[in-house]
Amino acid sequence: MIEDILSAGVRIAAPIAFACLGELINQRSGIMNLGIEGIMLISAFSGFAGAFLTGSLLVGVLFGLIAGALMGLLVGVLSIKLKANQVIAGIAIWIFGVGLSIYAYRAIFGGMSIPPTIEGFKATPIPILGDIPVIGEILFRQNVLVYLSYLLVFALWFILIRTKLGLKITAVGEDPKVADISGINVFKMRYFAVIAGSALIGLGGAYLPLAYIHTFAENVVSGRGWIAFSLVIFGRWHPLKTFAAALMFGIIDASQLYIQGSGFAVPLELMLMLPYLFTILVLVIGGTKSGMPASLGKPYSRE
Amino acid sequence: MKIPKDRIFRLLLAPVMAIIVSIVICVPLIVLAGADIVEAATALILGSFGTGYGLVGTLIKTTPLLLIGLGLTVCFKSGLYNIGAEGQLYMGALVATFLGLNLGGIISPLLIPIMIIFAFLMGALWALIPVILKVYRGISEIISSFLLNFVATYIVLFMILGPMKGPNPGLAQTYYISENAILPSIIANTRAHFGFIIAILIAASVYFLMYKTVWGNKLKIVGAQPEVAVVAGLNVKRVLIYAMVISGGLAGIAGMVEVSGLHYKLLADISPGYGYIAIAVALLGKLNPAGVVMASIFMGGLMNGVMEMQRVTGIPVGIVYIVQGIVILTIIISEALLYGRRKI
Repeated sequence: MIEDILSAGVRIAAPIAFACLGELINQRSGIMNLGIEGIMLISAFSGFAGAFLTGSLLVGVLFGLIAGALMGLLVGVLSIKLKANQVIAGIAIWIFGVGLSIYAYRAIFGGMSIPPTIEGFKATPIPILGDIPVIGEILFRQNVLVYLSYLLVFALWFILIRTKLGLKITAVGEDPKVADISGINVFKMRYFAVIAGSALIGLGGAYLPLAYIHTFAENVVSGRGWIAFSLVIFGRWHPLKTFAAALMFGIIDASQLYIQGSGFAVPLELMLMLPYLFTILVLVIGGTKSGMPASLGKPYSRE
Repeated sequence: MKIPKDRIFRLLLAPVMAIIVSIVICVPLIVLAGADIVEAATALILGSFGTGYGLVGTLIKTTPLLLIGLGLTVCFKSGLYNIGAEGQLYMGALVATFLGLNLGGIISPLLIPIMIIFAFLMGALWALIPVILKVYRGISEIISSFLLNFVATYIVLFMILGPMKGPNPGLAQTYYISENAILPSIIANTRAHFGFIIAILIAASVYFLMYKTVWGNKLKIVGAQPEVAVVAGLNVKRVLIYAMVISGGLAGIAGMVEVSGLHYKLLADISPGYGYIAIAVALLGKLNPAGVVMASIFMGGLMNGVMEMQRVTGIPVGIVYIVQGIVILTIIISEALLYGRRKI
């Protein structure tokens, strides 16, 4: 039973982990991408449509990534070039994403009598590792995208903390002026971070239809973008801590689903609000600004 | 690009740009959905302002947008971003329904004000959570207010499926509220209700509060120059808390008005996203109560027109949100073009 919950928790955590890591790259460079929920919605739809229309899950993943990257470019133009208020820009992108995903879904698939579904990624146990008792069952009998999230968190940790590129991204998020003086192209670096990060956010969105519910629903993201945003704060902008926060969230959500399914006399609605209450609680406990990039949300202009 | 900075140009740039960009983006979308563009445009015009029937529908949608938009105006002016108005509306609707179901013995002129006051208090209470977390713990009110929307809608769902469940087992609705709890109609034989008058009266009060009182001045200073506010010895925390409370309270009244004026009961989908659309209303109205009145009529018309468009041509209703997003984006972009830096 515990293994079941933990294994489901890892599966549920993966899309949030992708979104968290993407948002983390954005914020490390100083861009507060509050449109994350809208980007996930557009990517969820793009991923689903890509997979459904071509029959290839890989195309679905690709569509999700590309849609995310394109939205990232929009976020970049708004916050880097136009120096817009990033809160309002984020709200706009979120509402736009809600509309576009609902509209596109109904326009393309609305005429179908049965909601369209796809095969979706199946669990592919890793040989040897998957046979380890308990741990193998929890971590290594998952779908391919979950494995990708493991690789990604370590890769990202390495890139951000250990490489020159990561140092540059962090530098433009901390003090763009100093970064500029020391020869880093602040604008280029921020565009890179916001596009790459948003592509990852898009992967998180595409995960939902491709590896979780195997169809598209209008409220499919249901706050996961905002939750990911909160978990980045809780994870103090550090890849490993943020990933751990995403895992913790996944396990809480899985437990909630388990209790729902086990027929305890707890009202469904009260269980359903748990993940959101949990996220608020997480912010209350660890929502301090320590570790926050010093120039987060501040546009940079060269004098 | 050189832009002349006269007043009218500045005032109209965002709305005109919003309309043009919306048309440029939405026409292909409508064509892609396989609808006839002339038929769609006709439905939009008739459904928004072109017929008496359309106008009544527009008025009904304008009312909650105006109430929430006014609250958000006060809130955004303080520098806080309340995006939890949807949840505050639900909580206001919940308490109003509870009173309307249980206090039916009280005469209408007394019961209605009681419902308004308690809906305000409930919405305010719901908005108090994020602002307290913000002021005393430094937690972003943007995220917490949004997450509380989910909690509020689930509380409402729990209540109307459980303790407040109505007669029809298949529907997530309460019983009808007492006749004494119902707002009168303002145009005979239509659904246009007194809620609009309440909203206009509140618009006048918010205008007075923002421009004719000391508190209104404090609000502006706290929002525009927080450092100055601290130096001047203003109680910044208190101003922020009041701004958020007003914003939540007005969203709560919007919920009450929807129950008392329109549905006469509480249902699970009582708001089609008024709390979110009102963000665009407040920004389009340039955070000015008079501007918000006009913006809410515009958005109310748009919503009603699009619903009519959907009914006639089958165009998906998501296009309302696309236009909202475009409206906010064009506001940002036009501000950037006008001032070369962030202003809102």
